Amino acid sequence: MPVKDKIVSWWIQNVILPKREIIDKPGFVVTTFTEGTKIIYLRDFFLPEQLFELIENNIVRSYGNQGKQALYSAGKKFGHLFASLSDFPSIQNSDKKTLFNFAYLFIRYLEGTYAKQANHEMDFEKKMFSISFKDYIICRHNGFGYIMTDGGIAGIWSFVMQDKSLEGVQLKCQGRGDDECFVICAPEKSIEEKTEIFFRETDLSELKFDIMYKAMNEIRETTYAKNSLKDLIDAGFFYFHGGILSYKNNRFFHCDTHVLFLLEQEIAKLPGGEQILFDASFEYGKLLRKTYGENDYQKFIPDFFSALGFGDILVVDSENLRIVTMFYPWTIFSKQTKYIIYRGIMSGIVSDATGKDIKFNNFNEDISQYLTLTITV
Amino acid sequence: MMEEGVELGTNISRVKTGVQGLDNLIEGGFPKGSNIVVTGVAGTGKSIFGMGFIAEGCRNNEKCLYITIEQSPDEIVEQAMQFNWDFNQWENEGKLKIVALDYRRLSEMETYNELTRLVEENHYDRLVIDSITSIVNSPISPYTIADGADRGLHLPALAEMNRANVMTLFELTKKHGITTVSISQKVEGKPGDTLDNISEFIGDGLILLGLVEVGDELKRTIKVKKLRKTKINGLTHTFEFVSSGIVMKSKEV
Repeated sequence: MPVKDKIVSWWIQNVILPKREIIDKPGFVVTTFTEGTKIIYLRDFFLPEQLFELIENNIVRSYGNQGKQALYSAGKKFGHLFASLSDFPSIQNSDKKTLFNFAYLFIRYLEGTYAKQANHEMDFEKKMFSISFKDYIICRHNGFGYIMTDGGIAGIWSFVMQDKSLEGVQLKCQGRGDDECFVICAPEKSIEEKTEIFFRETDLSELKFDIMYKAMNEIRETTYAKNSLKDLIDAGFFYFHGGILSYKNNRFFHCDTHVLFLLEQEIAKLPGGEQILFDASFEYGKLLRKTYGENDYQKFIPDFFSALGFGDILVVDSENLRIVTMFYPWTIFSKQTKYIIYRGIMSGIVSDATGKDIKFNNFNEDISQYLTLTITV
Repeated sequence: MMEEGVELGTNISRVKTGVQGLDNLIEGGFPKGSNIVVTGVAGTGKSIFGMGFIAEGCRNNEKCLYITIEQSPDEIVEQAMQFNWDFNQWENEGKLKIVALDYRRLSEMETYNELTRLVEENHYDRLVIDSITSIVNSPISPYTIADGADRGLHLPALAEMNRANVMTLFELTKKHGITTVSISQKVEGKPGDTLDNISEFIGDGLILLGLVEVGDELKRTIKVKKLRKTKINGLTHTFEFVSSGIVMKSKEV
């Protein structure tokens, strides 16, 4: 194993996974860190790359530049919000050395599940941040990467520099035939010197960890979920090598749960966007079902998705087929969401497994103690 | 990862575990004379682990003792035969003795006196106790209650005697330098590595066996959590049952 891989392996095994990241509790994937005297817990998912490829492909195919803009906006909003929620250092409250150190560690984090290799440069005077990746998730396949690559990184850089007008663009992309992906985040004028085609999003918000978030997302004992992600890695269901975490050769990456809510919000603004999002998620569910083979979906869904951080899941296959998910990650956006991606994936799995067209079109939320999401046909 | 207060065990005599691939991870085997606790929930392969340990000894002409509490000797022989371990033949050759202890008499001192005599007279190299959990959870026999009453001991104190008996057994094996595999049960969802909450602390080693299922796909795991006088990597590995016993699968993380 090359030295670089050894370092990344060490990083994911010793820092990302067991220490900072709680991955040994069924139903939960949680990032922990301290902010002053408080210990903060952020709910995360491990998400399939294939799902995001499908979403981006279908949105771009259906809406062209308008779709690209929506994806970029979702990514940038997510990056900015994630940076604020994670209490990333910014130019307002940190010196340059702190920011350089932070950037170094953040890039190593990206090498955890996002890329095989990453290198970066920062220029505070020009407000410029560039980064090159080998095998970066999503765009390595479809040549887009609007959510995670362009938008996500631009959102984080905007937060660090405390300047919402900074944008990001991918000047080189493995998925488009280049030898690597290369992203630059900078003021519009600097980007315009390099390319005419890029997107803008300045409607960014910040979010702070609060008592409601903590209460709703507290780690609890599960009743139905038996597996944690650590169990699945230890048992060899998931395989990690050189920055790639995969299940049956399909790659997964680590991400804060807000991403699904923000993505849904942005895509819903497109006419018919919700249906496209549902269909892409449905398609992914069918692909996943084909990947895991002839297994019993009623057992597979809780065994698998609970380990990815979705909560404690029970599939009730009675006359009224429903999937009950206790401890589904709650965010401030939960009351506005329709859980389109989750419903779509589950519909795809169950439809493919049963050979029937089953769509979980309805949902019900109970937030009396924590979020219990029930989806029904 | 290194157990506390030990030198690296180059001069320590090692005993092969009988699990293909495990010896390489623990400097060649269990330290001779150590007591290794093997734990896991039902169905994880704890008894098979113990049988494989005995089979390895018998193949090497060592003298072995298998103490069974939950299964009859016939059941043990039958189960071992699934892996072509001929316990009957080894018993006939004097390499192996299978002793079934009466669950109802585990609290009685006489049981341990008999065991002590057996061990002292036979110079065993290897021992399997299947299981420690049965000893700790065994009922207090009427004889023990009567005997205790004579000595002014009441039920709560007598219940603690089961734990003391485990200590007695461990001390006995230590005194005679017998390398021992003690099987202990774990209940899913309950905290602690063992149900008895004692063996994990007093054993020289602790091996966790696990089962992980996704849909109808099942994988078995093994982790050496503690092993005195031995450098261990602390990682969880996978294993499978094959016709010759337990084989560890290679791990690349």
